[in-house]
Amino acid sequence: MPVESSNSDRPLLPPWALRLMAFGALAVLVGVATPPGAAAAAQVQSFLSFYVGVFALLSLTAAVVSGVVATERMILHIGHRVLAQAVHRAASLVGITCLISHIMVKVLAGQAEPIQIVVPFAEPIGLGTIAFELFLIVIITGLLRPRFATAARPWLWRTLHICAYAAWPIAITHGLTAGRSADRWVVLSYLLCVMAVALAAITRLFLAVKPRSVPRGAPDTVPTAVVTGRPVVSQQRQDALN
Amino acid sequence: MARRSSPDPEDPYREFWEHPGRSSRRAARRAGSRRAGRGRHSAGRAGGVSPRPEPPPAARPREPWWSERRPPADPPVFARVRADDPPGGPYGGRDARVDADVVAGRSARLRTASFAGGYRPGVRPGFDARTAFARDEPARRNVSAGTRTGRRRAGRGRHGPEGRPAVPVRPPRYPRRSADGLTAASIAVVFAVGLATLAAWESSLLTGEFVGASSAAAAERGKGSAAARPRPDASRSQRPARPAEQDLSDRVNELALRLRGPDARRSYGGESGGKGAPLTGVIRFSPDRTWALGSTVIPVPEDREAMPQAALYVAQRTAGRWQIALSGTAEFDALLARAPAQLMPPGERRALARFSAGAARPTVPTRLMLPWRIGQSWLMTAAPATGRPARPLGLVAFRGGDGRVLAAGPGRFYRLCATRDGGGMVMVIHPDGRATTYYNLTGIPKIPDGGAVARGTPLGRIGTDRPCGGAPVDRPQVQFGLRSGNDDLPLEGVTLGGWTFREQASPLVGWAERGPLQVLPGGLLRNFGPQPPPPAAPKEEPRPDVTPEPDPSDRPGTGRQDESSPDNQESDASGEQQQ
Repeated sequence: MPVESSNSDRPLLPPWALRLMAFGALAVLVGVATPPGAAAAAQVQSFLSFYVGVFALLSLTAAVVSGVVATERMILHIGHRVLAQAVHRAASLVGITCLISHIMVKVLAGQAEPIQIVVPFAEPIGLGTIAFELFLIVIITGLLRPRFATAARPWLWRTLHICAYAAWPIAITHGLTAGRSADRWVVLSYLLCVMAVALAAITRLFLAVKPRSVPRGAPDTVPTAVVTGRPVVSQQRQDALN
Repeated sequence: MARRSSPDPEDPYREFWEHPGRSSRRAARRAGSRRAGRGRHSAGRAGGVSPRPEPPPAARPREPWWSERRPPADPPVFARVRADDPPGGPYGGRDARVDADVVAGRSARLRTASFAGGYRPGVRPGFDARTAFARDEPARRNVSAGTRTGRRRAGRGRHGPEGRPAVPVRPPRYPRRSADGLTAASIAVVFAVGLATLAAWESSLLTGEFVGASSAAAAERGKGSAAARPRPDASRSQRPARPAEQDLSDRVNELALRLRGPDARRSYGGESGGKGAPLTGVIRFSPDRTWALGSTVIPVPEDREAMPQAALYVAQRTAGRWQIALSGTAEFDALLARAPAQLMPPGERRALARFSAGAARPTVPTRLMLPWRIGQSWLMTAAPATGRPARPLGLVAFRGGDGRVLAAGPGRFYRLCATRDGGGMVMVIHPDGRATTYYNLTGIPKIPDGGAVARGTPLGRIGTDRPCGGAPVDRPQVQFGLRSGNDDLPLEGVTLGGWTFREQASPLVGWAERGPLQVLPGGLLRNFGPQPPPPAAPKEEPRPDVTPEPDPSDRPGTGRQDESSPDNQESDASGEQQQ
């Protein structure tokens, strides 16, 4: 699978990584068949059953937060924002992986029907189904972002990506209502997360507009493109300078 | 990030889209002098190459990593990171993007190489990394020694007037950056999760069962029974379970009904007693899931007041069949002796063996106290057990004080009829083989089953929960009982909290005595701690309120306890003086 990061030309996966992955999968397949491996796999099962959903929610929370933060222009430098975008991508990747693992584990454990992956029923698991589908939209559009950006409708990508704001609270509700009952501190930390993201989103709503309203071709950005010793100034900049 | 090439020449942002690196106003402000200084070099270098007709570099179709762009003899990409490459930093996070005029004359391979920008310690934060590092790149590729300034100068010198490097192009090298570290870490996590999921998937296919589903399903079940608490077994029977566990549960239920059913019927009284499906739960499996320790309780019918008949069991799965032994039987002892250490630690095994041996093995009794804070006085109520051997103290319950129920003595904690919300019946197995049971509790702490508790460890608060069935309770209390093996131990002669409990057949009456003091059900008992009661004082004090009365059916809520309470507090005070 040719995986490339979207902001550079370097390959995301070195060739040996896929080989390592295949080798690891083979080792796991063989190892689980042995008695000690089976015992370890049982522990892995229970761990996944209990925690991978939590990890998915945590990762996606981190993805939402870092995605919101990456648009912040008042405090953060460009480098910070680039870092936030990297965090956003990494957290999204981990989150969607944990989410798929969570769904597989729950279906395997018989705690959810296979049809519930697709069809949301009116119960706490159904909330998870809705959230999963919305996240799927977000992830797919995120992967296809260059196409949207170069297409005639860049706003479409933004609109679809905003599904995350709907999916994430649903996922939080799903985490609180489905499965084992949540402790009080869990509920409290979830609420804090919701409040933090709400704050960040509101901040974004008001602050994102401001820097964009500054015209790009302002005279103080002296062009550095030089061709044959003479600065090349676009017509628009020329107008701005004159 | 693909750049948008605007077809519209009137687009006011066209300049930005084609040269994003130049339009950062902050960079222009902060690094103005540096930018001005570099202009001379680039002026002589990029001659003749017009930026406009070239497509933006990122808009070109990328080639995958296996393509022929790289020479086949190349070592792996990541192995080529040299030690002298600068580490990644927040300001080198984005690629040092080269503008179209710099890149235009080079091959696609060189373009890839020039994308490798890194963080330099001496660079100011406002420095625009996207444009500056492009000039440094040839230096990093070609010069292996020398100071940084020397390398930079040398690197610039290699650019000929035509803007091409003077040396053969070497394959690209990617420096480490923090964003790359994040990406690599996330991919590693993805790999790990994928492998774990694969292991879980294969394990569940091989063994046909899923660890973690049992407890979670039990929790789900408990939530269901929280709504329909009076009939907890209704929601238990219809859950889908994995074959081995379902088989174990069925076999345990069958065995419990066969062995314990008559006993339970006798204990619960009436004809309907002991007919319901036992509430069986697994406390734990051994890691290879061939051994199981669990508990089974025959639920008390709705219309009966009785202590639930609880038993522990040990099961071993051999050749696809569970061999099960209930506590109190010889098979239990034999199976327990063979149980592996992964199933239970040796201390727990000894305690369970003594518990199962029960009354058959007299030991020095553990000193127990009444299950609340020492010094507090709680109200004792008692209902005669409704079954055949009706004992006046067959069903003792306490309430009052601060409501916190404490362990009567050191031992091991087990929660039977466990529900999702932490409810259940608590049984503490003491070192002497006796067990104290606490029913109707709420807010049971999360002590693992089999975990050691000390005397005075909080076990919860008095409540009205009935996870093991039984008649409704009108106000919060704790039903307290003694068990050993499979039997309820009578309270006759048992010393708890400095009081000795007495029962008498004719007239049918039970009471607690401490020296000259005697307290009937309905009276207040002060907890004196685990010490045995002092020897009976010779002097006789008139206690009209605590003299045994012939009517044993002294039930709570009759109002008698209200008027007797102050007097009993007096008696408590006198008891304290005696101590």
